[in-house]
Amino acid sequence: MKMAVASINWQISAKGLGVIYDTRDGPVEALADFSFAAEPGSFTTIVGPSGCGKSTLLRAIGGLTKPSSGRVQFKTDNGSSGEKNLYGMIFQRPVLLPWLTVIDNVLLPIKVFGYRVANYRNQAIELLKMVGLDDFLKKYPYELSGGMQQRVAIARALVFDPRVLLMDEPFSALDAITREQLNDQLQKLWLQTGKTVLFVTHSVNEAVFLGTSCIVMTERPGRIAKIVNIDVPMPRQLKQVQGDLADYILQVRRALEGDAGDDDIAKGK
Amino acid sequence: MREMMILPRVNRQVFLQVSAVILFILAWEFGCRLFKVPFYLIPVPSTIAVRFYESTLDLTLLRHSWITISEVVLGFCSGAIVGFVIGMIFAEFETLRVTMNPFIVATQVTPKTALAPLFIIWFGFGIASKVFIVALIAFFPVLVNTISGFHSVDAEKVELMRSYGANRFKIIRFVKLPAAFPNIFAGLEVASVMSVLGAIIGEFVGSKEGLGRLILVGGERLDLGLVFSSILVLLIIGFGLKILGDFLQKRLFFWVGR
Repeated sequence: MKMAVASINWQISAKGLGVIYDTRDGPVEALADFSFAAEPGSFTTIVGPSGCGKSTLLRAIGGLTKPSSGRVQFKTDNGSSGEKNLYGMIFQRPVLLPWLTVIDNVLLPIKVFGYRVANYRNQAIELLKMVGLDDFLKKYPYELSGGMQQRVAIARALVFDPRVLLMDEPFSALDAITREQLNDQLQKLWLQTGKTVLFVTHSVNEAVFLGTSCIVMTERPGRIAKIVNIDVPMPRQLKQVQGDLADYILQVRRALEGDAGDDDIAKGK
Repeated sequence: MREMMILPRVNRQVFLQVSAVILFILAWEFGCRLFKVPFYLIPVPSTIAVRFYESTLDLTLLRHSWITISEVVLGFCSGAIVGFVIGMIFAEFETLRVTMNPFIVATQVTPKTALAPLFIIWFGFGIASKVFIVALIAFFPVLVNTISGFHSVDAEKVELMRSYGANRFKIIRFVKLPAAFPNIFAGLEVASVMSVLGAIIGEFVGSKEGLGRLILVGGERLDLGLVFSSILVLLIIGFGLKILGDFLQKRLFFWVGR
């Protein structure tokens, strides 16, 4: 699988990112002063309590939500660049188009960009092979299980060879067994493609198993509570969650709880 | 009985349905004969069949059917196209839709057939007046279903398109139109049935030709064989539309509700 693995140096970073939503009850600060940087090929996981603005963060990076303050920057050695199609987004649900076959769903972004579909067909088939769905090219989404549909969504996000994958709790709607399988597959896929990944989840185990580093967020408005670097070599085995990953899991959990403690004090409990 | 059980379910359904229709026709024929119902009140099926055959042979039915079908097709197509385009614009521009809502509701609640005499005055006894009536009738269900179809599109799918930097036209082309199509199609089905109704009523109000005219003339002459023959043609048109609709639905929207 040939893909544009980071050949030149680049970096994606957020500086002082903040998002304020206007709601009926007045403005709500979803994200505050969020700064971080992701190096090429890194796998950054983001955990935090529900409603802490994790999804907002990804949406702001992917350009779906306009930040109220701060900015997201993509920099290469040649300076700042407005490169197109940097991000492949994967949502909580597969969001496949039910009237298209699996292969046509994977090729959807190509059609939307107005590229020549013929040039990308092999790439799409190759990606479907990597996620184990090459026997299902001509099937329709309703003929696939939830886990298979989400794998199609992953292939679709990769088909235009984006530099960064933005994954917003992609496996949270799946059962535990499927979820573990997909975690394992995703890790292999990531090692094969060398993509940079930002992965939002509310499962600490998932965050530590997959991540090269894990950003722990506070309750709303989401800020960074702690960044835990997970120095365990890849590929990892799921059973390491009970082994050398356990210590990191504990660290992340503590960081999450610490936040809850502060919150109680703030409320005067 | 045992053989019937072995038959596939669809064949069994067809068998039952055809039997019911044949029984109904036989009951009609022999019931009328038995109770000596006057033929100028209720003609028996055999009389209708003969009259149908005669009027097909002398091209009466064909000529008048052609007029009515032309009115339906022209009116339906223009009404549906205008309804679809305006529906799409209203669905995309919410403020416009809200502003124009009184007009939408007005066209909805006014019985369109009440306007038929006006159209006859404006556009004469030819097919033009009927085409306008049919168009007005076909317009509304298509308009409403296009709007509701566009509104029913998953926000997630639109988000996905936005993540590709797609503009409004691309979102419509790749997501909104295909997703709304089943709804629009349902509107077209309703519109097609109502179009035939509109054409007949238009012809009742004022016309020189058409199946509606033929029914009026037949009624005045107490030629109920001719009246029923015309109704039979309308029945066939109606069935044709329904079968076409069901066929397209199965082919086009296999993914709906899965």
